Amino acid sequence: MSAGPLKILIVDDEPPIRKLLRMGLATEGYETFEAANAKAALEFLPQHPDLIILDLGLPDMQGLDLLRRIRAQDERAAVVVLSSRGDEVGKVEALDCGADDYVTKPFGMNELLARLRNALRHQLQVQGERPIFRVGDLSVDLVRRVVKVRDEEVKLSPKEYDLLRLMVQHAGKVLTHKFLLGELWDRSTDAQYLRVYVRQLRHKIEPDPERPQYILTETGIGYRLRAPD
Amino acid sequence: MSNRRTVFSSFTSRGAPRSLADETADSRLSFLVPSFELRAFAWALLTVAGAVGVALMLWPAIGVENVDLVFLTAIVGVAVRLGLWPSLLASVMSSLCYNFFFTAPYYTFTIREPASIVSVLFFTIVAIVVSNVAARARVQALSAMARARTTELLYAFSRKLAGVGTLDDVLWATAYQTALMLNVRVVLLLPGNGSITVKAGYPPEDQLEAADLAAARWVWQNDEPAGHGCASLSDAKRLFLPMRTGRGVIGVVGIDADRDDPLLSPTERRLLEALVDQSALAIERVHLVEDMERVKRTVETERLRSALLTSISHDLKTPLASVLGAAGTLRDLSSKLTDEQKVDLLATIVEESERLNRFIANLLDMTRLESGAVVPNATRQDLQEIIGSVLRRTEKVLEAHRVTLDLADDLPLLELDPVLFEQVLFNLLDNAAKYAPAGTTVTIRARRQGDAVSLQVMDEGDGIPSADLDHVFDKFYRAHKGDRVRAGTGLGLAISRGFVEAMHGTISAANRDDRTGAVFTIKLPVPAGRDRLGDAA
Repeated sequence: MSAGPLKILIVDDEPPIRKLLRMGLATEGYETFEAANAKAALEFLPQHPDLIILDLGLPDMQGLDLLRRIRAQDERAAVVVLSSRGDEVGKVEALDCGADDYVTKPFGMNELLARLRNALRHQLQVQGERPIFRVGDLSVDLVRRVVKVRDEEVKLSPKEYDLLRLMVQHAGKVLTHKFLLGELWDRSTDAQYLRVYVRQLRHKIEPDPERPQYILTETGIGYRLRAPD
Repeated sequence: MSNRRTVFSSFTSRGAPRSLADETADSRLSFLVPSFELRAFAWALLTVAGAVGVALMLWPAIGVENVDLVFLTAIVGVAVRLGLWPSLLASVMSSLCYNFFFTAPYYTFTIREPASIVSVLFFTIVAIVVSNVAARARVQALSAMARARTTELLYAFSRKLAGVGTLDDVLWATAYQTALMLNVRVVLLLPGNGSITVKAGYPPEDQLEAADLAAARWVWQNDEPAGHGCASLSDAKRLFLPMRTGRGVIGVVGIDADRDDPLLSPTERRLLEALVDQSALAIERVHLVEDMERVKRTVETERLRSALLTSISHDLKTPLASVLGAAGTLRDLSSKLTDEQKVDLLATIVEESERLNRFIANLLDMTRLESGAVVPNATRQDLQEIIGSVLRRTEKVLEAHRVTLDLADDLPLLELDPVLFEQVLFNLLDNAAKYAPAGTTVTIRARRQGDAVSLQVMDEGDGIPSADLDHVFDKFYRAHKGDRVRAGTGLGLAISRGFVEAMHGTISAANRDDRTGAVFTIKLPVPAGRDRLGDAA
């Protein structure tokens, strides 16, 4: 990682949105760069942005195609996709194409900044994973494989633990059904299995499994473990 | 296509068409033309032989003067059963036999006594006259039967057509039925794209030769039959008839067959014309129904458009005015505002923008529903999970209310589109938040009821006036409330119903039995097959 402020590339064809993002990101001390189209975005890639905010509706290239080309050239940059409401299929495709997260337009700046932090945290964590993950009353010790709720150890089946570990490793990030199934079983497995394990896991670690606080459902897309406090 | 198959099978399932066709072919007026069927003549001879036998036996008892009655009975029988020509043969044979067996000298054809000559002569005359009369009676009976049969067939045909809903089905039924009843090949041509083209055929046919097409067009333009066997355009392979209704020609039917004799007998021609008339009426009926539907749709669209305009002008402009006003005030009068006022104005901008956003989202959903663009991506879903997710989304909307969950433990997985269903629940909860006062409880209850799961959203508001119960799911319908309640978009419940129905469920509104308050009930079918929730666990 280079020293200095994190570099964020904003790819959006709407000047007001770029202006808004530029101002919002500046408050967090990020250094911003702007591209109004796919061509300009690809030209910027050699400068290695730490994160790319990518609007899927660009005039000169399909958002998903651009995402694939970005991923082909730069595996390290985090990508957060801006998409429209109701386009769950597009969101899932973007995530499966290597996007780290998505934000639905119109969005609140706080929400966006939180997503960016998560995406960047995940990047930084690659270098030094925190041994103990904590969120609310839940703690997960990935080294000793111990899961605690309110300091009481919770017994998990191996599959439940694998599921939780996977989520902890990507805490704060949305994980698609396909990704989770692929990691835990194989991609063709019916999503029902995943649903069953999530349900069981919630019953063991959530204070109120009917209103989950930790394992959040991203309807039509997948699950997201709440980011550590 | 499947519709067509249903009609097809309804025509075939009774086994009727084939037999109808055969019977119609039998009744092809064989009785008008001498039919030299050997069997009939053989039967006539046999009957006469039988009469001779009976007469020989009875002769001693009844006397020679009454023997002729036996023969006359046989002749009448032959005439009634077998028609004119066999009965004439029977008459001649009877008079010969009478002469041979019963006039002296016996067993010769010679007649000695003048009285016998007169007797044989009169017998022959009477026999022939009786033959004629009886045969004519038979002809009349047969033609009456044939007419009754034709009427019955036409009636059955018209009844079938009456039950047919689409133009395709009417055409198909007409072509099929005409082909079978008259044993011909049929094509039906209807106008379209400025000319007439083949729309149906039995056996299926979609192209006509140039001569036939020309004949068909001529019929279409002149409203007169043409083609094979007609004065006009007789080089066409087929015979074309106009299909007429009170409003004029609506199509053309063409027939041909593999026989050399005249394509159709006069009776068949009449039958064809009757069939074509029936079919023309049915086609016109379908057209009229379509026209009416179109008019109804237009009226409905117009009504919606005006409601939409009213709604848009109000629901889009009001929040926009607030946003513009607040933002403008902040920009122009910033120096004169207190910090508190600024925060207030900023909050207005955010809230009103969110309201605008919700309204536009609803408009988009409604448009997607109405244009048929909502195709549920249904997979097995855990109701509890969707409810958990929607509760997170409605946290802000319901922050002034308590939400109680009452979900049965034995809920099966359901075939749902999770995104659509979450929106349904969101709209119901949003509605409850609007109409039930702050501090009250909203209950979500789910139960399994046989082959269905019922999900209820209950509030503790004033309930729904009974006159409004039937309308709450209508577009742009808003229950009348005082100023206390901020009007919604009038679309939320309409969208909910559209989405639920797209997922093969039902949704209904009622008032609570146990206290005041509204209750919305969604019923969803439990998918067939094993509930795999238990398996994996």
